[in-house]
Amino acid sequence: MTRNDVPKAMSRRHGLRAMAIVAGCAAGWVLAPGLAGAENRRTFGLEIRDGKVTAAENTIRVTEGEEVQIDWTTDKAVQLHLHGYDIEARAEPGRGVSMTFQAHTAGRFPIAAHGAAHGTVIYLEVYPR
Amino acid sequence: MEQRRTRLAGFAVALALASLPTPAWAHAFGARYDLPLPLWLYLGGAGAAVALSFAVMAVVLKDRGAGAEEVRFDLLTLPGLGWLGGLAVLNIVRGLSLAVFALLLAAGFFGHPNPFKNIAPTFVWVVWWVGMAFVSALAGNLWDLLNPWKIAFTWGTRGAVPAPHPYPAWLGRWPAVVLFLIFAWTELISEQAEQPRLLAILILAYSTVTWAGMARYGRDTWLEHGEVFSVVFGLLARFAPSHGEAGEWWIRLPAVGLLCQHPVPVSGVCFVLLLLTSVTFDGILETPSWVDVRTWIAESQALRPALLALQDAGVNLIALIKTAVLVVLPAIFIAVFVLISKAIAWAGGGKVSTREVAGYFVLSLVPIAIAYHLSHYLSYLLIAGQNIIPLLSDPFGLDWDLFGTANYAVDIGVVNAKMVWYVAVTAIVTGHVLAVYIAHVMAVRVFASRAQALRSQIPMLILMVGYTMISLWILSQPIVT
Repeated sequence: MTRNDVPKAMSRRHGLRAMAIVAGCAAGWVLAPGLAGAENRRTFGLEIRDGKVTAAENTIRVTEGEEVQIDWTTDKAVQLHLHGYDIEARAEPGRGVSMTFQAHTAGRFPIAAHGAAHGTVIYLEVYPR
Repeated sequence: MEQRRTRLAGFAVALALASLPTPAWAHAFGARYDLPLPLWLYLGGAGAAVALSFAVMAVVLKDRGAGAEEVRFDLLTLPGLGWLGGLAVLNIVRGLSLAVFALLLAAGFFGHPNPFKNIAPTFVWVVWWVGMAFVSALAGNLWDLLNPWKIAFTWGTRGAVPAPHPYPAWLGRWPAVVLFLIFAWTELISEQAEQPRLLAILILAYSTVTWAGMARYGRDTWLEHGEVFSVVFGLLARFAPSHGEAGEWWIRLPAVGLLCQHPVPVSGVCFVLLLLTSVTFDGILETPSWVDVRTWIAESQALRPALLALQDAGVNLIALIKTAVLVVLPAIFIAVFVLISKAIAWAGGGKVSTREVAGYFVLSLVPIAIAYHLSHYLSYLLIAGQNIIPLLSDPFGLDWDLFGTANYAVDIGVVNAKMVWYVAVTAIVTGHVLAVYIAHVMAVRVFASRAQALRSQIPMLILMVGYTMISLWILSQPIVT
């Protein structure tokens, strides 16, 4: 081998190493949100009794991008509507219902009810990252 | 006893129920409300407003702000733009405005009665009332060109108007004040204003009043004193960095239109303060504190007999309470402003009367109101405003699809929540700084010595900081409807 060949072999090894690092990073960058997303699921159990949600605060808060699941239980049949995301669900006594969605847009969204409860029962706040 | 208690329970329930939005209306707009301002932005904005106020004082001390109004330039003198001010173009635009006006009336009377299937409510309350306010404040007196009542009167009478009566000086801007109170009540308190048919009837009623006023006192006199929207949009347009008139379109410094040579008369001062209060009132109605006040009233032992009696007489108690606040709040603001004017007059050497001081300085508060209005309504305009897209294809709710947009779905993500925060705080701080600047320039012009001018601004600064704090506070509250 000439002196010139040694750097070529070295550089090829460096090149492969560099490519592996970049590929690894890229894979990580692509997979991470998915992996993180799987861990970033927020679940809320809300009960409607006597026309109102029994939770202490009138707002539930999540961060933009999280998967949200709201499990509703009620003492009387009620039609629920999450504004903005426009998700409807009907809960009945003994038959709870879940609203599942990804919080893709930040903002403050009322969840309105018709039936046993009226008007806004709780607010969903999605905070920007 | 038993009857009373059940009645009061009924009232409490009614109170609770009536606090909730009309489902149809809320559903129509895919409601997304702004997030409350985070604390660091609230405090940061407040701090910046105060700090910059002192910077402004230092600048005006050196510069006096003389000739600020002379810095201007007619855009239509640029080559290739002159035709924009030509009569043909102006008349085409006026014709279009009149056509839209006719469309709204037709839709109101003959279109679908459901507010969100009919073009009239969305156009009037979102595109026109909120949108035109934005346009007036940022781009200038476009309303002077577009005002359908003015166009209809001018074209309809073609000079064949009997000589107008002289306008009684004492009447001043009071007609506009009264009409604005009625309008604000309709907008903020009545629950019916989104019904297309009622809206059309109200528009017709207002048209009758306007044309009668124009016929009696002369078109331009009425536009200046009684046509409430010309007065409102004209006031907002004073803030704008551009102004159009007679085929010219002047670009100028922002807010300098609020500098005045003569003090605004008392009726004008009351109008400005009424407008400012209604802007703030709108925001206050959506705060949890308002809910607390309402609950307190409902549960108050002292008021119980009176409330029950009123309820028996068929009075809508929620509307009554809101109406009371709508009238009381401006009265309080006027009282506060009079006190501040007194303080300014005294600190400024005592040679200028309180009434004149009030008249010279009231306009300097306008930028703070504009800033709050912009912040509060930005997402509403961009989100609820999108409803006009499907409505343009089907204005009467008859399942038409004129432009292919009838199935357009509102995109609630059109404006980013963080962007709204930053725009809001920037607007509020900028509005505050401009307000302080205008007040200082006026002070330097009105008072004899610079020392007096500077001292006179201390009460004004206190008022403005307080007003800006209220705006920031409202934006930091979670919206409850």
